[in-house]
Formats: sequence, C-alpha cells, structure tokens
Amino acid sequence: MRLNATHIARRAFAALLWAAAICAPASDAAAQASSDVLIVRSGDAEAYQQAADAAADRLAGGGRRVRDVLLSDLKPAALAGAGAPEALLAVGSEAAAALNEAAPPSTLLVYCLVADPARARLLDQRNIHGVSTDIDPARQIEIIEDVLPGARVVGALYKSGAPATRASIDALRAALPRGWRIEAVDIDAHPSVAKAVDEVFSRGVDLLWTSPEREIYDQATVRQALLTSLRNKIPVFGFSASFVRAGALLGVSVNPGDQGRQAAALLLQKLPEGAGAGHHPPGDEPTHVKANPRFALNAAVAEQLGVRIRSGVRAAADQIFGDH
Amino acid sequence: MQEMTPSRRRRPACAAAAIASALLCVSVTHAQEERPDPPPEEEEQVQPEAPLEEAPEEAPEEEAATPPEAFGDLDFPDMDGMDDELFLFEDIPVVVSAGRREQQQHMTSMPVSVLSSDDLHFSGLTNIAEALQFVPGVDFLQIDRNRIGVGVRGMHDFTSDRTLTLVDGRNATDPAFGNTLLMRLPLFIEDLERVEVARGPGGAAWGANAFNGVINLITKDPEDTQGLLFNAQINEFGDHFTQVRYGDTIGEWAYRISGGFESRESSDDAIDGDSFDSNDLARNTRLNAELSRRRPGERVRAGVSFGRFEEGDFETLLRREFDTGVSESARAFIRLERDLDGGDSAHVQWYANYLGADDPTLNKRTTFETDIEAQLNLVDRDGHDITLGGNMRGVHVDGIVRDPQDFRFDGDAFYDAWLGAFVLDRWQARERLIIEGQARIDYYTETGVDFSGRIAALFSLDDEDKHVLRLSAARAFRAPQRGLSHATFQSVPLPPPAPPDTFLNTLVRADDLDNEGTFIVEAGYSAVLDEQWTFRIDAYHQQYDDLIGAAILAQNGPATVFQLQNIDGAEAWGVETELTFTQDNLTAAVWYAYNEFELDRPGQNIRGHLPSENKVGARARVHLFDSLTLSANYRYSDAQNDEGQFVTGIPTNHRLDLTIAQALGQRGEIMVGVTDLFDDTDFAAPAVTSFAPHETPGRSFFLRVQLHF
Repeated sequence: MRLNATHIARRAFAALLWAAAICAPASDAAAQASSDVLIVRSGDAEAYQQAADAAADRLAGGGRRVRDVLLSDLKPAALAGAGAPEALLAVGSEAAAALNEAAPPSTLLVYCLVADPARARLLDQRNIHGVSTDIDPARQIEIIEDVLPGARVVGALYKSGAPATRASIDALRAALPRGWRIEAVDIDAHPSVAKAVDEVFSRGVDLLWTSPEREIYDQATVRQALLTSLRNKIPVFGFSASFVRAGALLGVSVNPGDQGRQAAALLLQKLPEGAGAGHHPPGDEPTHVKANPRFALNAAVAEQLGVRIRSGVRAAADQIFGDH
Repeated sequence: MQEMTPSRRRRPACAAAAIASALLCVSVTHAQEERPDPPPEEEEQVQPEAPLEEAPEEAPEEEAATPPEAFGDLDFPDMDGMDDELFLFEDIPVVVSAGRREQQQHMTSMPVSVLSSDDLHFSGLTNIAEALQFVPGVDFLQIDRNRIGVGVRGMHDFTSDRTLTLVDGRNATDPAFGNTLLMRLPLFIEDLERVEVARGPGGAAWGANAFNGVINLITKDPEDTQGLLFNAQINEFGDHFTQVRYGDTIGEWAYRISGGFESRESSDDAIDGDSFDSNDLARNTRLNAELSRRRPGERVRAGVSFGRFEEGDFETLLRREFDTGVSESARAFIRLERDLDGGDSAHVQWYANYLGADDPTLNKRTTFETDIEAQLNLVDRDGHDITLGGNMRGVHVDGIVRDPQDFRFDGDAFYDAWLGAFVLDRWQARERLIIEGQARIDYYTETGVDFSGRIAALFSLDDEDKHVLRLSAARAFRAPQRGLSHATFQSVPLPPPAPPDTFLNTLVRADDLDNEGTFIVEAGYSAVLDEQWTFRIDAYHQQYDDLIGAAILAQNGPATVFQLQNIDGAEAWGVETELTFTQDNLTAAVWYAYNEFELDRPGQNIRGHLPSENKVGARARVHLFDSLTLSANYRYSDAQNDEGQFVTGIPTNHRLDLTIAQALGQRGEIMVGVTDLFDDTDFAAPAVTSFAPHETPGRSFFLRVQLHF
C-alpha cells in the first residue's frame, strides 16, 4: 500500500503536531529542574497522584516551588548537596520509609497517605511529621451513633494468625462509650470466611464494623459480608467509599486530596517561607495527625434494610450512594 | 489494589542511580548514624492507638554500614504490605447486562465479556464496531470503510439481525431491517463507560430478537464527564476525527454535550496503486447531549442525540450508482428510577428513534420508533430476587421509491407494534446454589406471539463464590421485520436481447415468514483465582430452526429470481475461554473461541457469514513511568467457512493494534498508534448482498491528541 502526495502532506502535518506535543512536557520538565519541595510518590496509583497533585497545588499557593517524582525514578543523590530540596513530602508508606532512611536528617520530611506510620518507622524521628490514613475510632463511633442511634453491639472480624488485625479492634474498644460492647469473631477459628461472617451476624450485633485489614477483607469477604448483611437486615460499616457504594449502609473514607492538602499545610507550617534546608526549628516536636474522614451513606441499602436515615444525618454525609 | 510482589517492593536500581555519588553514601550513613533514638517522652506524643509494639527492630549495624547505591538497593525494614493505604481505594467491580440488575461478572446466567472505558480509550479506535473484534466469541468483518459486520458467534453481516445491539438497554437496531449500522450510531467512543457482550440467546432478559447475543453499549453518566475535552485524531489516509465535549452541573443537574465530526476517505483514495473503484467515503457529524439528576432514592436521566451521515454508496447485488447519500438520525430518551420500600426499586423509560436513511443503491426511507418500558425489582422475597416488566413499541416506516431498482416494502409505508412482558427470578436456593429463571412473551403484529426463556443453575464450589459452575438452557426467537418479510427488489436491468423489464437480480416478496428460533444448552465454569487473575470457560450446543435465507426460485440465463424463505435449521457448538490478569500497572487478557456451525441443508443461505471456527485474542496494557501507556490488541481468525453463501472467500487473518499514549501532565494526552500492524486485514470481504467486494485499507498509522480542562 503506497501513499500519494496528499497523504504525505498530511503526514507532515501529523509530525508537526507530534513535535509540538513532545515539546510541551519537555519544557515543563525543564521548568521543574529545581524546587523547594520534592514530592515523592510511592507508586503511580491514582490515589498517590491525587494526593501529590493536591499537595502541589497547596504548596504552590504557599509560594513554594514544587517537583513531583516517583520513588522508583528518584536518584538518592538528589536528596543531598547542592540543589537538594529544602523539604520532602512523601506520599505513601514506601516513599516515607525510603526517604526516612536516605534523606539527610536536617531535611524536613512530611508524609501523607501512610497507613501505619509506626511500621514505617516514622514516629520515632524528630524531623518527621505527617498525616496517616488512620481514622479516629471515636469519630467512627460518633458517625455510627448518628446513623444508628440504637446501636450498642458492634460485630467485628479478626484473624488470630494475624495479630495486627486485632489492634484496630482494640483501638475501637478503647473508644466505645459506656454500655457498648464488641463481639469479635476469629476467622481462623472457623472453617471458612462465610462461616465466620454467619457467626458474627448471629451474635445479636447491631452492625458489622470493618477496618482496612487486607488480611481479612478481600473482595470475596466483602461480598460475603454484604450479602449476609442484606439477608440478616444488619448493616455493615465500611472502611472505604467503594465499600459503601458496594452495599455497606455507612462508612468512612479517606480522600487522597485531603491528605495531600493536610500534609502540605503541615509542611508550610513547619517550614516557613524563607527558611532554607535545616532552618526549621530543630527542637520542633513531631506532629503526627490522623485523617479527616469523609462520611458516606448508601440510601438504597438503608431502604433495603429498613433503616430510616434522619434528614440531618443525610445532610451531613459527604457522599450518598443511591443506586440499586 | 493488589498485593505487591517482592520484586515490586524492592525496586530495581535504575542505571543512573547505580553510580550514585559518594555524597549519597555519606548522606545515608550520616542519616543512620545521626538520627537519635527517640527519647522516651516522645512516645507520649504520638497517637495512643498506634501499634508501637509492632514497630520493626532496628536494622542490624552491619546493614547500616553498607552504603546503598540506589533506592532499589536500600534494605527497608519490613516492607511487606507497605502499600496498605491503597487498600482504602480498591474498587469492587459490577456488571449489569445478563439479568437487567447488577451482578458480578462471574455470577451471571450467561457468559458476558466486557470492554472497559480504558480498553476503549487506549485502543485508539474511533468507532465501536472495530473495538468489538477484540471481544471473545465475536465475529468481525470489515466489508468496506462504513459497513462492518459484527456478530456474536457468527451469522454476521452489516445487514444481519441476529445480534441485538442496545444503547443503555435501548434498541439500537434499524426498525425496518433489524440490523445495526454501528458506524451510524450518534455516539462517541470516549463517552462510553463500557461495552458488555453477552454470548448466547438473551431474549428472555433483553427482549425480542436477542437471538445469538447482545451488545450493550453503556454510556458514561454526565456526572463522570465534567469539564472540557478536546479530542482530535488523524491517520495516514487522511481520515480525521474530532470531538469536543463539555460537561458541567447546574444545581442538582449534571449535563454533558458532545459534538464531533469524522471524515473517512474511500478505500480507493486511501490505497494508492489499487485496481478497483470504491465510493465508501464518509463525512459524519454527531451531536449528543445528556443530563442527569441524582437524589437519594431517585435518579433521572435524559438525553437527545443527532447524527448526519454523508456516505458514499455501496454495491448491492451488482447495482452501483457512485452517488453519495445523506442519512440523518435522532434519538431521545428519558429514564426515571426510584427506590421503593424494603430495597425494591423500579424504573420507567421512554425513548424514540428517528432515522431518515438515503442509501443510493438500496432505498430511501424514514423510520420512527417509540418505546415505553417499565420494570419493577423486588428484593429478597423468601430468597427470590424478582424482576417484572414489559414494554410497548410502535414503529412507522415510510419507503420512498426514487428508482425502479429501489428496495421496496410492498406498500411502502407501514405501522408495526411490539408488546412484551417478562419475569426474571433469581433464587438463592441453597447457600451455594442459585437458580435463575427468565421468561418473556412478545407479540409482533407481523408474526404474532412468541416466547423466550432461560433457566440457569449457578453452583459455587466454595463459600466465597470464587469458583462457580453454571448450567443453563435457553430459547429465543428472531422475528423477521418488514425489511425482510415484505421486501421486493430488482437490480441491474438487462439489455436486449433480454425482454423488457428483465433484471439481473429480482427479489420477490416472501410468503408468510415464521420467526427464526433457537435453543441452546450451556455449561460454564468461572473463577476469581485471586485478586489478579480471573478465568472462565463456556461451552454450548445450539440448535437453530427456520432460519431465513435467500432461495433461488428461478434462473433464466443471467437473470436470477430470489425469495426469502424459512429454509431450514442449523446446529452450532463450541467453547470460549478467557483468562484475565490485572495488577497495578498491567492489564492483560487472552482468549480463545472455537465456534462450529453446521447447516442442516447443503447450500443453505442464512443471510450472514458462518463464524470462523477458531479465534484467538489477546490484549495488554501497561502504564510506565507514571505517564506513558502502551497498549496492544491482537486477534486471529480462521478462514470463514461460508458454505452455501453466495459469495465466499474470507481468508485467515490476524490483526495487531499498538498504541503509545503519553500524558501531558494532567491536562491531556498524545497518542501514536498503528492499527493492523501486519497489514493483514486489507482483503476484499463480501457482504451477503455484494458480488463485487473490494479491498479495504489495512495498516494505518495515526496520531491522536486529547486535552482536558
């Protein structure tokens, strides 16, 4: 198949378009060669990108020059010496842990979207601050009380073979108001997840509370929990917006953009304008804050379960899923 | 979100970092030496519920003393599950086609494959028809640049009516002939949320005429298409495509307006040095507007669309005009959904479709159809999820005779009506057993009453429903529409010495045609192997009765007289299997389809092509360096066994499409790609009404630019 002259002209036009498009990101990269703040993402997941974008916008609004890079693309040499950033903002646990290891201790490090700062060894350092994805159990209880005023017995699942899965239940237990109790069921003590789910729903619980434990809640477990919830007319408290959309009555979620903005604000607070690397107060105490949760409701599930949601609670919800 | 593999946890050292400076070594060592252990009082300042007891041990002294050269070489403590935060953003997939209600894809009562919006976007294709060839079990034939035959398990042609096409569940077929001209739908591929292809008879769930399969094009909600999109594409033949879309909200309403123009050169113009004439150019304009309002328990969605399709003519039974026709289509709908007490729900939908078609070698006609449907979903009535519904549809077709050779409807103008009612029952009979029954009865003014049905048993091999066996049987019918049952046609007048009014081809009106019928038994296994892998295999045996085809009534020299008749049946069997893999940056799938088709009568015409016996497909998409996406789509088809059809000769072929997309920050994307890299699909493919097929362009390089604001 050969091309005639008209097509060759069109190809030239196409090549021009292509060249113009290539130039755009190249010039953008050149503009970001140096920066005050280096944002380092753990990976290219959308959540990391959203957090990084939000942080970059907030920092730019604070007069900071910002550069955004993937951890895997980052040369450790860029963290020290001439041209090194004044501060680092790590998005995700992997980036935070890596920067904690590799960055000079005088460089301010702020993290966000970190599930477990202790595990990433971020809590025992003086110049590290940040925002975790952890949501205050007391706030979760408040939300449950708003939606389910009569709730007193909270069901939960854990795995005795994975001790970490008990930690979140213990944290919730510590936040429970007087008169409340938790019915926790060990999945490892049952022949299947389905049996364990049946067991927890059979213990007279008012809801099944879930926490983001990968060891427990894979897609099959989530589905099993939601189906059993509908069958028993007992609601599920989900740990993500996706969980609520999938069929939990209510839940909390972490917004990556919020995390990025929170971290950026923290960084701006710790590194006032004009302060260079190592010029933030050396004795400044570490600040580790929890996530600002968003509250989600599933109105269709509420109707299916026969749960009446007060209008004030509806109005307070950040997200309402209504599809059947 | 999937669990990270050890290889991802320890990033490979990049070449540049492998020669990290001495400064780095000093810095890292310095950090490990100088960061003081926290004083005991600092532990009081952290959140009390932080599981400090699980903090990892300090790295051994000897490890700290070894200077790492790059981030991938650093021995971070306890990196397993270091991406736990992404678990918060994991999505849970759903699918809606197989039973009118949301179901997981591996739990549907008939096999369903899905093309996601990302599959469509990164394919670089501008039309839906071409994208469908990468779906398991779909037969595909590019007849010319405007006419593409797509059929689930064969019987495909641009005039074929055996696969039902829907847009968000609304009929997208031609009310006169029952076929779907996919290239003429006033839709944009970038506005599609996904494409679901259900294989097998689906008449019970999706209405009359879902005979061999269903293609459901599901559009994005206006809420999901906010902002401005500019999309422009050009290929080496000079074809170009432009779309501008804008979405916004006004109060509670979200809206989207899409407009676009597409120009395709004729095969003749696109291919230099050819030895044929063709006129298959196109200059198409599309406009589409939708709005939606979502309130708790209530949802409203409405839309209008308009298309103007200026297309060159095509050869029909050797009739050629080398003229250009302009067809216009308009579609409108409104859908109201409401949640009821106890989790029940209902919807009412009205839509109307207008088509003013001008096909120079066929006819000129206007068609108008309007349909209203209602559906009630009852949840958990003693373990039964029940769906009840029905629809009424009116059709008016007016044929305009411009030439004695035009296709006629024997009366030229007519009204038809369709009435349908259905019930679906999905019953959780046992903890691991679901029985699903579907029944539907339809009345069509031309052929009277007929019914469709499906019964399926889904048995889970495990408590989590990860491994599911399916056994099902179904019956469906295809009612011949007036374009078949009342059609007359004569083409190419013969010169003397032939008697006056003698034509090369004459189609005489059919005697009373009956509905085509089909019955199928199916067995399948589907599995969610883990978070990355899914697998399914589906086998079937299908029986067809009263298939309508063209029979030769008389032959006098070159003059042939045809008539459409319920000639005979056929038998089909086969198996389709699909394996998919999804991880953070990689999506991949491979599939294989074996579709055998055997006619009851030698030389029996069925108005469509027989399926390729063996079809293989693969697709892969990988995101690299945060902004680069590589995508590949591959398909192989056996030569089509067109026994009994008037024109045969579709060879073995394979097609590989490759695209590279580079994100331009957050505001756009540039893509370069090639379709049919091997230049192997440029063969002349005949339609069932064509005797003189011509070559179509094969390999084509293209460039696409998209900007978002």
